[in-house]
Amino acid sequence: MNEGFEKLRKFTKAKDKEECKKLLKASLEKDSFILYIENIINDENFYENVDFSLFDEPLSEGEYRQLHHRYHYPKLWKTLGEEKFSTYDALNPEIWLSITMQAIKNEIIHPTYLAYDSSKEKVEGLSEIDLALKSLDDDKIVGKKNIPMWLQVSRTILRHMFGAIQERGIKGIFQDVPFAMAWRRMSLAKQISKNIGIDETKIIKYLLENPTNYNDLVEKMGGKLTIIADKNIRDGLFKYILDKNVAIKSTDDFRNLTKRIGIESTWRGMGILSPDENKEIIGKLKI
Amino acid sequence: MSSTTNSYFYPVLEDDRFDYIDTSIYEVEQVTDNSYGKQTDDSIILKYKIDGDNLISQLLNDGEAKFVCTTVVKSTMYRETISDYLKVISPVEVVQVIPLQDTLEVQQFSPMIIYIGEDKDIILNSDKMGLDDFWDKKKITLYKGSILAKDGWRESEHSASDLLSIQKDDSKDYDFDVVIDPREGGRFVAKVKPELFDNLNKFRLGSNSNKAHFNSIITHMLSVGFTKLREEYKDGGSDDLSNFNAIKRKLKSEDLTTWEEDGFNPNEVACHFLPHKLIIEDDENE
Repeated sequence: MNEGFEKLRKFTKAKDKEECKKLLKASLEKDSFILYIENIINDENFYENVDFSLFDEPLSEGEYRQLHHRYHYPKLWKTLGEEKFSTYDALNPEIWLSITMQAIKNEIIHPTYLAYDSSKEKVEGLSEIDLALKSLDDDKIVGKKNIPMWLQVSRTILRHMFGAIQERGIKGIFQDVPFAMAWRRMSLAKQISKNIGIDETKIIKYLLENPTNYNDLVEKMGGKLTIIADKNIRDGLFKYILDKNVAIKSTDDFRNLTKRIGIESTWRGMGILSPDENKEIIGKLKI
Repeated sequence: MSSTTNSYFYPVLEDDRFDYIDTSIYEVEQVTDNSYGKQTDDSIILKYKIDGDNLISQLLNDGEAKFVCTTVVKSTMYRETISDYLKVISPVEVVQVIPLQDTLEVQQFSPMIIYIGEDKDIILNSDKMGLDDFWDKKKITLYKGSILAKDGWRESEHSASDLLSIQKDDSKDYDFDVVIDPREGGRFVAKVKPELFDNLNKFRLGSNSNKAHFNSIITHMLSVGFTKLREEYKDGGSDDLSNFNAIKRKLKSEDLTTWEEDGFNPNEVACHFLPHKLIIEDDENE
């Protein structure tokens, strides 16, 4: 494990204003950003863990925030597939840092993109960085929960590079890193499609159009409710929610449904039942 | 781990529940010899048995129940319920192979007996079904998938020292440093300068006094690791570190203080986990 990465992972937690200032200033330009991060990482072999050069399509900031499932997803899958990318690789924050850095080096994305705030659809990352730089000399410029803007934006930049793993654990990777989110959606869709024959695109579109449901799924599969990760249960759930007569879209309904599956599983071994049987059981749960 | 709530509407055979009379026993045993085929590193073999004449043994004999095992590796979101048998000794005694995932992370197992017949109503008879009198003449519905017996969650064996990996690091100009690697359930990585790395290899294989010296250095490394664990995770946030969470449960079960509690003593915990089984890596980098 790289010691520089450890430093990067921790400095926003320590609220190191000087270091945040350096990060923010560096992120305005490609070369300064690469120099800044590489100085911290201080490892000439850092990029050897994965080769991202096959992904050769430059992205706009909007495309980076939400990679297009038809154009970019297959390219990402092919690029990482060529690298025999495994689930364990996908859980490695250093690999996503490497991928993001290579995307910057290869001019696929610009470092200012990393500062985007997912709750502000029309505000670009560059504006967030400008505001964060101003906040270094103005305590009144604060972000959510009154956190100084320089700290909030610094955290955002790092979170989009390799996930907020200090705060939310490894599963944060699949909720924060745009490339990782795309990979995870595609990986889930491929597994489910292979098992039960539902069209892969239909699954990906559902996960894209219902981002909070996707987040809930990732949270639960890797958290306390691993029951949802059991393939017979997961596939039964997707059979149910994608049924045109059901179409579970609302976040509350989705959350309640997964919670109810958790309760049902305390007395029922749903993992041994087929996806069709589980679909029927799930359909009878009250949400 | 056993259920502390009575959340079932039918009798279940499980520790700390009294639905079945004492002669009904659900045994789960890990087979460690080669009696059911050669042991491999990528699986474990479990043998299950139900003793006594009771509702569960009757359902197993009728082919309406099945021994299964759910297995989980949390961080990778791997969860699978294994229902195939390696060998059927009798309907109430079977052997199962459970695949192990290729990871350093602790893997969990939950053996169960599941009802696999169609949904049906039964009027219970305590004398004939090996049940406590409470259930006599009660009408229950068994639904497909109902858990009839539970052994609780088990974990692949880990000790704190399994979590320490040693790497040679040419850049170190002092003896060693320990960092927490959060991948694959978490582990300590001791980066040691080349001289110490070479000496550790010699000590490990040397005389008893050398081995004692080796153990003392390793204990010191573990102690530093636990100190770092406390620094970084005292206030929580270690949910994904399944390996350390397994150690936390072990400490609690032995009435020792964990790193999230006041009074945690890293040195005491490091000493507690002797003897050591270690991975020593040849490469300077992983």
